[in-house]
Amino acid sequence: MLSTVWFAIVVFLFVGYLILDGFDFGIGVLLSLRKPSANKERRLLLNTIGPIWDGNEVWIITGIGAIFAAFPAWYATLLSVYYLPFILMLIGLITRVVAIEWRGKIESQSWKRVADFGIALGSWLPAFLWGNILASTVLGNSVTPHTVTDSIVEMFRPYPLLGGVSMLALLTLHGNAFGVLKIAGTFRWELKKLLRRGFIFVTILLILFISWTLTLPYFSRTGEIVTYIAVGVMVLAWYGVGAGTFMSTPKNSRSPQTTTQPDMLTFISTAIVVAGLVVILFVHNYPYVLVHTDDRAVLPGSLTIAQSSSSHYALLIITWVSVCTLPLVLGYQAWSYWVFRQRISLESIPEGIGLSPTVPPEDIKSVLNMVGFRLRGVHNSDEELPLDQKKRR
Amino acid sequence: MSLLDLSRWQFGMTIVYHFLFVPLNIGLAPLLAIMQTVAVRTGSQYWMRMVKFFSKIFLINFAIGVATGIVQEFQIGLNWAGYSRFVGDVFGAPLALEGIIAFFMESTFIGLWIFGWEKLPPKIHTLCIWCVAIGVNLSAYFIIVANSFMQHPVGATLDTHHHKLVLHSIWQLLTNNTAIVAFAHTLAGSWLTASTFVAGIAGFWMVRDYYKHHRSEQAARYWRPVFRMGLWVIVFSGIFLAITGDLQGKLMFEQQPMKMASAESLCSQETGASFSILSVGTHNNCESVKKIIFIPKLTSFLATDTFNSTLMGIEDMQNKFSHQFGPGEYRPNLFVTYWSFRFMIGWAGGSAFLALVGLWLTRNKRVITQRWFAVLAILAVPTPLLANSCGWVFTEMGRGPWTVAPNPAGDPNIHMRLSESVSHLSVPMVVTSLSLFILTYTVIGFMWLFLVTRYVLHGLPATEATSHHKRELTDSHVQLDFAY
Repeated sequence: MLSTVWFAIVVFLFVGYLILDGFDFGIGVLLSLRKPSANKERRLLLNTIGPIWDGNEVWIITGIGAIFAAFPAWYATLLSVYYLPFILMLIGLITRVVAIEWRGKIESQSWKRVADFGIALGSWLPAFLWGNILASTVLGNSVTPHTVTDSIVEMFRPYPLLGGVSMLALLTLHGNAFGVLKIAGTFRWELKKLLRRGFIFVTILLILFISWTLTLPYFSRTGEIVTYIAVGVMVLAWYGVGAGTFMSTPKNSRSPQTTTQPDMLTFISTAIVVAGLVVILFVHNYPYVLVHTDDRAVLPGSLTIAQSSSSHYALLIITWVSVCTLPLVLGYQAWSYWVFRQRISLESIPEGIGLSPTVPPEDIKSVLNMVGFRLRGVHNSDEELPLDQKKRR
Repeated sequence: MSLLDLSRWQFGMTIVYHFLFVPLNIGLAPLLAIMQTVAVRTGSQYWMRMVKFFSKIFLINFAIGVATGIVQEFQIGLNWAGYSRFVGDVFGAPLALEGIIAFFMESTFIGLWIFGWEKLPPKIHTLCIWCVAIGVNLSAYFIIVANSFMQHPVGATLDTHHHKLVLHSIWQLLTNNTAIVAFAHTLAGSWLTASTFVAGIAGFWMVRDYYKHHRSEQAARYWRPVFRMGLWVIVFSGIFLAITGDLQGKLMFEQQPMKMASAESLCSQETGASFSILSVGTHNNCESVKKIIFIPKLTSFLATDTFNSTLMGIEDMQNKFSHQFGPGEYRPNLFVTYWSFRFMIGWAGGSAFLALVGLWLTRNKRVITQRWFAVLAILAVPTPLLANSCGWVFTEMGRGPWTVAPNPAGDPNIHMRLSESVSHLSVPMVVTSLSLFILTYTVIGFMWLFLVTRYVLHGLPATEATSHHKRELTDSHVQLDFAY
């Protein structure tokens, strides 16, 4: 059934999104936890994801777009029922985009503080809220699409709150693993220590959350089987995370080639764990995409895959386009990762090339002068240097 | 305010804000690609410096374009759930295609371009900015296909049992004549925006460098090539804009006669209708409208290429729709429709004026040294941004009470009203989201303005910083040539 195929594609897109932008969120959280005065450390973290974060973010645009195209009723109900969490997430995502791009444009402490706040907002909030929203859908929502919704109630139930915290913690660990893989030199060791401490904490959270999830009722054999398989895969991968994290490695390695295997093992394993968690959250309630429940009974207003699916023709069209373009997209995205595969260290980060926050007063005066506002004591031209020796400020 | 009004304000404000910055990206990316191609092929340090200068501002702008754009993919479901359910089968596909085909391309290759100056061979690096340019322009196509379905639904049938639209032909959807013309018109407007930006800033700096270097004509002359390039692009995109605008207007007279009647404040049917340059009226009351300045028979000519054609008026359309679809208000906001149409054309005159004056003053290898020109150049820069916004406000608000306007030549049962489209949220909820968006967008808007002004006033980068050096990559501790 084409609609089931598209459900799988949507899950794939969300798995991809939370693996890729997930470590972006994790890096952002780590950045916000460094000392504000450690500008180079923060820059180092930011530049691990520098070339790739924008492409990573497009996975959610495509994922949400795929839900819209393949399951319009799911799209409409999901977004309008979980209105407030999505709005808060969007505010976070908006501020993160401009914060990352604009942080380095001005050399001033306060500018960078503000940018770092934007990055923090756009990392903590979305990571938490994705866990919160997806967990909420597993639990079921207590309103129909046609009543006035109050998504605050949905957000603050205990299970979705735990889901949010667990996702946030897992993605931070995942980002941490990425940092350890991507960074060289002394700072890598700092991150490794963080990883070891975080590992215990995230293990506990995940055990709590997964156990709770396993107590929730299923709606089909498929949902149950896939969930158990995913849990099994997650447990196995968790051993990988542990092995990679606690394997002892040279402290100040100048040639990280010897430590790449454990770092890569940790990162791939956390990625698999994220994938497993996302699969569980989407497939647990199979064949429902959204469940309207009241004390465990499934009420009208619930949507199954079949009920919310687009017409066969529409699905056929988007299938053809995806078959032709997705391999190309994956190819060039993979290539971009390959281009920037090298580790970077604190020494790799050059001096900031932003401008000072204030326009030099002579510049302002001479511009005003030029347009006709005569200011006392200012001559019309100050620089005597030829053009190609103008100093950069 | 009602839920519907609040939801409309939220959607309208966020999308106009988004489209304030996006045309600059759509137009500037190809210009940068062309400049970089010339620089790499000819080894020209001049064009490489220009690339580096304008790319800084491009990237500042690209960020806010992406940031305000993420919202759009979600907003249709957030606040317009009724609409999403009804048209999703048709509307969702172009949006998904926009993501898969265009957004992935522009976002992946922009990262490669920003960070890859020294890592990638110059030709591959230049290919990256071309991919960004293609991606950005292509995304406009898909979203306009989606919007054009709302203006002129084609390629869909109505499933009366489930009360939703079903996609019947993707080919008809993609080749909707409304979409083709609107896409061309949007591209032309975007290229006008970017070229006005480049020419305006280059013109400003021409005069500034003249005074900064002791009235040095040589210093001013440095800016002449990029300035003239910008002006010629204004001319070509302006001509393209006028042609596509005319075509689009003609289509609209056929497909959405109520919209065009409102644009002309044509209250009742007229033969040989005049083009109104200025009309006044009160309280959106059609009957109170008095034409003050007008050109006889021009509207009929613009609509049908004949001076004496008969055009339907607003009241005629209102009666017609009431008979066809039941009692209701089918007139769009007359004041907004009339004035946004005129201001769209009027603001575009800013670019035209800059091009005419600029080309004249730099004829026969002259440079511009007049100070008033520096002011004109800077003032011209925002005019196309305003024109773009007015154009979109016109076309969206002129659609009247419809989210899917009825196709006069199609199935009359295919239509949807705004009131049926909105999500059933609580008013406090929408007030919260609207306030959050206003707050966030205001803050980042001021930051954007500050950054752009700062970087424009700073001027060109020094020459050492302008080439693809191939740095020796000795070990893993390679120093990055660029880092955030």
